[in-house]
Amino acid sequence: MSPLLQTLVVAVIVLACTLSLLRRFLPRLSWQSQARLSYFLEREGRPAALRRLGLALRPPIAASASACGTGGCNTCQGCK
Amino acid sequence: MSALNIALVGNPNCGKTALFNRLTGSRQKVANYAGVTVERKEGLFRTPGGRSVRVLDLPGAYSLDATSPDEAITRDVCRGALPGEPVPDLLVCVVDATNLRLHLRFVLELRRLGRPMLLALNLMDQARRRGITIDVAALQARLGMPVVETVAVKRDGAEALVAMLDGAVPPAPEAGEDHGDLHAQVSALLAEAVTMPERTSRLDERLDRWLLHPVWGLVILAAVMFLVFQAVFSWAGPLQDTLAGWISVLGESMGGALPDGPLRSLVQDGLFAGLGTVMEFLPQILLLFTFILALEESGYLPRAAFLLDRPMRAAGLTGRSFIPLLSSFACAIPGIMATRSIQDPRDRLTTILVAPLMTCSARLPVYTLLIGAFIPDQPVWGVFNLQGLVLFALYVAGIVSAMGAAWVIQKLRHTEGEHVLLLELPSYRLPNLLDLGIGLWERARIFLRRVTGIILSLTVLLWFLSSYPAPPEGATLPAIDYSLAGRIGRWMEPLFAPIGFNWQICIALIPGLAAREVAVAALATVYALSAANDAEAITSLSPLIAADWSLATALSLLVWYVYAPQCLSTIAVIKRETNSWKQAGFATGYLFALAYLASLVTYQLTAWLMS
Repeated sequence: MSPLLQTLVVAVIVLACTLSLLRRFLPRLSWQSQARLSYFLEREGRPAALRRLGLALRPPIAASASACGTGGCNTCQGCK
Repeated sequence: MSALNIALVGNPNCGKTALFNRLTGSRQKVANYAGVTVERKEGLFRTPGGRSVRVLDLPGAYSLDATSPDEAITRDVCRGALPGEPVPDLLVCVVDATNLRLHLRFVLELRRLGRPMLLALNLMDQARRRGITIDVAALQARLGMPVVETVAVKRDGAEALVAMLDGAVPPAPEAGEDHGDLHAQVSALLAEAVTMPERTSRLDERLDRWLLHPVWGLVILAAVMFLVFQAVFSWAGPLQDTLAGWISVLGESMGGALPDGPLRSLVQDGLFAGLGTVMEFLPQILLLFTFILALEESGYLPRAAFLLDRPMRAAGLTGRSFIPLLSSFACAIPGIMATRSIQDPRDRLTTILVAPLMTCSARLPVYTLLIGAFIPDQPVWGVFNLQGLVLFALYVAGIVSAMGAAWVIQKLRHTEGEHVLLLELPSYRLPNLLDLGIGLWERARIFLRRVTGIILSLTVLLWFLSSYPAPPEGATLPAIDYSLAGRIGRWMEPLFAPIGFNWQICIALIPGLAAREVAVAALATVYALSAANDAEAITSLSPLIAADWSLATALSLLVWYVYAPQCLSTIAVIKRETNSWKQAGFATGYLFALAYLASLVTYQLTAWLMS
């Protein structure tokens, strides 16, 4: 595996982990950012591929806002 | 056929959650003490006749006159007054067949609501074993509602109930002479439909004579807890070594298969050094929970709450705080949520504020790592193991600190709570192996989910911050010294130097804020990246820190973890449960101050003694 390919794979892994942590610890901010990006990509006049990507990126309606889902919960029956 | 909404309702500890699990195939926590369920839970199942049934598992309540937030949920759902919650089509009143005198009172109270109901006589196997005879037909006739027998922990224990749900919804029972004294009505019901043996529980009495003894009871409780921690260290050792060996072999072969480069470093120094080190502690965690779950199921824990009521009262708490504090040994979050069963708001707040001091399972990897590295594995008095003794001492330190903090908080607030403990002592029973297995599987799943979720993400991010920016041309120090994490660690070092923490520990403290175990993964990654060569990088973390740290530093870090509120989720839950940023801020502030102060004293004192 070439160094360039290794760097690319590492970049994707680091990005995915960062996004997952943002979603966990800053759910509202992450939801808003995802929504903004999806609306930006879906605007009229954008190429069809970008609009499809925007549609795919559109976040679910409600963001989780409670402490549940912030990551530390260890047993919790209430946290789903 | 339309979906049927049913609600499982009844006194605490009558087996509602076990029945819920039996009906829906869910895996909610079951224990032999009151107050396990503090909020409504929902599940779905389909009867053999094809009917969809939506089941609500409600918190246990002794009366519709709610005295705590969890009882209020039950009252509101039963009355159809909870916003957004449809009125149940059928109330399934679950009662403990071995304790009908207490449980039927609530059934009669529920009957006054005039809603369709049926009665599930749970724990019928135990009732029969004790010689309790229940005339189901007579009970049915007297109550005016269908009565079915259930054994929620048995595979086919809910068949009669499911068959009943397949049919038409029974009509609401007639209130009849329901406005009199409920206790008198229960007595009349029992006289007509139930035959009790002369002594229902000779074994319970015999055991309680010792286990609830004001002196021997406490001695036995201390011995039980002590043995648990001894066992965690001695029995889990071989399993931990085997797991560590497998992880090491896998890490070496994976790393060897990749050419030199960033991906290899991520796999070797990040994933295997970091995550692998945390994974090694799975046997300890499972062993600890085997004991906790077995004690929960046996019915011993409410006795422990009863025994500890007096010491807890001295600290300004009540025995009611025991269950939330005990739950906090697994994780502070369910513990804080369990405080909903405490009626007095001041007692509840104090319990919430001290719950993070209980030693949650996430601290176990940190404790085990440091004890393994610095405390010699030697016998004490020929029977005990020194490492186990230290672990026990750390748990005791958490408990004693919580009591001390509660005392100070109550004194500062000039408040005195209601010190009345009303507690139902369930019968002793042998732990059900299936429930024990489910509980352990749940623990393992939660741990693995954390390892492959938040701990993985944080470890990868920490590896990235510890590897970039790359060192300049001609750099002589390890790459981590030039990285962002290295710089942050060096920047924090002066603040933590008085308590003996080096820059590597300072780096580990930051991701440890998200989950305590990540501190172990972070230390492993930082030391792997600081290594001079590959052979050193794949060395186990324990000998590396043993060579690099002083005993004073190790003890200081152990003490830090007894106190520090290093879990953002706990703080978030404190905010949610108290609805106050002030209380969340207070908890964070006092716990950090306590951690720093205790570590400072420990470090300076040990350094002085060693000099």
